[in-house]
Amino acid sequence: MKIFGPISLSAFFYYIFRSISIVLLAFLTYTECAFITDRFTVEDGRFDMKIPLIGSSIQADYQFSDILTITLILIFGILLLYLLSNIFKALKKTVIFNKGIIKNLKLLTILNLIIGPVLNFLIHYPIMHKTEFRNIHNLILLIIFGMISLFLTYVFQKGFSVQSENDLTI
Amino acid sequence: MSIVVNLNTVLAERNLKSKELAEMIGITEANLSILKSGKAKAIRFSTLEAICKALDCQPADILAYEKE
Repeated sequence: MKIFGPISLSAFFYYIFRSISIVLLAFLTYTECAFITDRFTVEDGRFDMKIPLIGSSIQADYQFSDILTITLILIFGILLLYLLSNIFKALKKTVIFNKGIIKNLKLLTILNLIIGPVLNFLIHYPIMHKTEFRNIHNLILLIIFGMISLFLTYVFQKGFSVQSENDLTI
Repeated sequence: MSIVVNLNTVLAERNLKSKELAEMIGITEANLSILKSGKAKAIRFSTLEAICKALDCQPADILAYEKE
């Protein structure tokens, strides 16, 4: 199977990531609407929200900090998957060294190296009021992922300039 | 760039149109236009050979170096 091009592994991943991001967006919208319209039950200080179609439910402490954490993590996940789908969309094209992939890789780098760690600290300290930092592996993964996308951005930038020169060789 | 493409002059001397030359050497009119306008980054020896053959000239008749 081809890796790049209109009918390739990139096209497959584009549809997968775009579908998951749309499903997650629908899920986020549903949970927010359910919180606003009180479509959940509260028992012993914990809320229980039924998820339609799946039959499962979300349970957490019925506190603003928990609800905000769930919302922020979902937004981060949607953005991450949406950017990944955009990257694979750009790889679907015949010429893979294009401006679209560079733009999306830059955004992915910012998301992983800046927004991700900041969000991690915000959730831990000001929002959840935790005294010790436990989820260090999440932070390490974000930084590794961010560094890979940073290097890929420069690789694709170099590829784009070589491609442009090649296109102008008559 | 200090390399100047004098293709228009040679074409005028031979009473040839860009379209005709493009067909003779087997490149698109768009690429020939890029070459004539000096926007091209490089020229392949095969293209240069085809142009020289079609116009019966030397590479120096088409390309010239001008001090900036």
